[in-house]
Amino acid sequence: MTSATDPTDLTTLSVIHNHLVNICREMGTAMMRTAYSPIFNEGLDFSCVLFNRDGEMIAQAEFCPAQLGAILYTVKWSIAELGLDSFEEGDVVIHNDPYRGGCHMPEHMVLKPIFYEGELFGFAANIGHVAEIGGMAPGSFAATATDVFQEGLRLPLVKIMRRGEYVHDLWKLVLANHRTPRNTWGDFHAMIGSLHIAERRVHRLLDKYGVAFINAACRELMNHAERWMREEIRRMPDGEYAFEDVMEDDGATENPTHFRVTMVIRGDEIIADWSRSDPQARGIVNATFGVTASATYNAIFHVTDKNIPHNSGCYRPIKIIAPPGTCVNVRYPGPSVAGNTESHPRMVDLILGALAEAVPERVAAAEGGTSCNFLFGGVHPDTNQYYVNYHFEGGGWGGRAFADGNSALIVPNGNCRNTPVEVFETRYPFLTQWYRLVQDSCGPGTHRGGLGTQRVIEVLPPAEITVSAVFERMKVSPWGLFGGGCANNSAILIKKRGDTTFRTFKEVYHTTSPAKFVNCVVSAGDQILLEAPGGGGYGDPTQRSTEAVLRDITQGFISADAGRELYGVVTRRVDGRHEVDVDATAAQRAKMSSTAALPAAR
Amino acid sequence: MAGHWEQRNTDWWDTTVLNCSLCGQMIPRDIWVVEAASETRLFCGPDCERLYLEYWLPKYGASQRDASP
Repeated sequence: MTSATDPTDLTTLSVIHNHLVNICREMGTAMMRTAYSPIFNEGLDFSCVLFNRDGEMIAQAEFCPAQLGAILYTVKWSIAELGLDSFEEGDVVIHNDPYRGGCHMPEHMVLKPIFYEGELFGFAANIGHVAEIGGMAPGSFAATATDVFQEGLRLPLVKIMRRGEYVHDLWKLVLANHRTPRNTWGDFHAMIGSLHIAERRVHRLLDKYGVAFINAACRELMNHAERWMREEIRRMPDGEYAFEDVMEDDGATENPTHFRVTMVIRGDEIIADWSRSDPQARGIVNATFGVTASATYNAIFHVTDKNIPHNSGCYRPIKIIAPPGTCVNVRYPGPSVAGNTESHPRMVDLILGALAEAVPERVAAAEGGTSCNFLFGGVHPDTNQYYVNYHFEGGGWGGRAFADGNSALIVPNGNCRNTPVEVFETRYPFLTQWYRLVQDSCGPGTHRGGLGTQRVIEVLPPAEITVSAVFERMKVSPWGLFGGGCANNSAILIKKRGDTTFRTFKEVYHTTSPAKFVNCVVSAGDQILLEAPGGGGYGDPTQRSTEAVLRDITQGFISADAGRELYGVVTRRVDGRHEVDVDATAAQRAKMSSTAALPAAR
Repeated sequence: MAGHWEQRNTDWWDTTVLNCSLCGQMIPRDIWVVEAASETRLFCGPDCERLYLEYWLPKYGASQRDASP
């Protein structure tokens, strides 16, 4: 046992907090290293947490924000629904129910009780995006779904392990309904294995400090986080701040869906009121309660101190109103697969847009706002095995008061990584023609947005591949703030073998939406172009320093034309190098300052 | 607060979800029941009753579209 005697001592609290967070990080490392699917071991699309026996989150690691808000509810509700008495040592509970706090059907939560000396201490849990769970499309992004049954196999709250033993009937049922059962087997074991690691590490912590000491420290850590978050909120000006944006279509119809938020700051509390949002959509853009909660917390964490411990305490001052039956809280049996990947980033942007008036120095302009979900499956010509992959692309993030937006980054709900070309080509019958930043894709600003990316992949012979996609931001551009301009839009296009130009899937396959479609069969020689949007600009672009504009032109981030038209910086080539024409720039900026309207990036 | 706790009893085969009248959260077991005038509202806890009275009613009024399940 340790010699520490005061569980509320700040040094001791810091040691215990870091210990708990490191357990969660080690859980994630285990998942990354042992999973079978690239979405785990390359994309890191999972999150790991620890809870006490009262259903309060005592620690989380910095993985996927899309899941870290939702898991607060999925674990608490699972414990409440099953009852503490139902848990036995060695049990593992699983569910992917979007109506029970889940983010969308592919994301499965596993939860294991941690017993110590015969008594229940708490729980280890994680949520991971399982890449293939059946349903109407390989990769289980049923872009045209109109109900949950088309989206894959829904597991209610059930035990997948009982007292350390496989529940065979459940495993058989799951494996028979997923297209790639071997991957499911491997990924489920990665998830469950991380729980075992957490259990061992928590036992060591309890060996060192004892249960009463750790419980007291966790209580104080949560109260500390709550006080810190309340203080952060109290510093924001009281008021009501509203914003709205739109999802362009819902996959099943061409109807837009409007998301609206009113952020109410009252003293040391924030209310995120989503109740003016549209009714539930027919298609897949609906958010679950878990998504709306995650997006709300995600955005608020962007504008508050990053050092606040992320346990249940810091969530207490944040109230969420998300009426069921609207696009921010889908009701059974409504579909929701895009709510997590597409609506979540839009909702984060909405809150940042709303809070721009209150805390302009802490927000960012709109980021790319789409995960550019690209799903494909088929029989691999080399192995004769069925394969499926879920792929996403990173775009640009919005400019901020103090810096440009980042480029080629996965949306803020993901915190995931881009899949390397080498992994892509090694595992799947695609040849990457190019993968690059898109010049001029960023919204102009004093601090410009980040750049989007473009990838062109060609199907290798003799493969025939079934592809699906869920994209957004094809029509409505990521917006700028405080005079910053819009970024470019996304695209997914196809050039059939023998064609000379890329066309939309709507033109070639007659899909309802050019952005959201399922089960289009592509063949050897066909090329697919995936383009992620850039981020919006922050502040008047004519206030951007000429040095920064020149650097962007030199590095190819923006063209010389964009430098002149959008930023008012005129350059010329001297001995193959760009130089600023000082007089022409002064004249151009003077001319632009008299023009109110700001042209878009494209 | 005017409410009281009741427990939701569901059969093992019942997969339906009950949501809070205000915030929309799922109510897994314990319901905060508020009976006022001729209406019964089901909340996830006293905090939501307070928020309903202090924020929702003054802002939207009882006749506006609300989050009732």
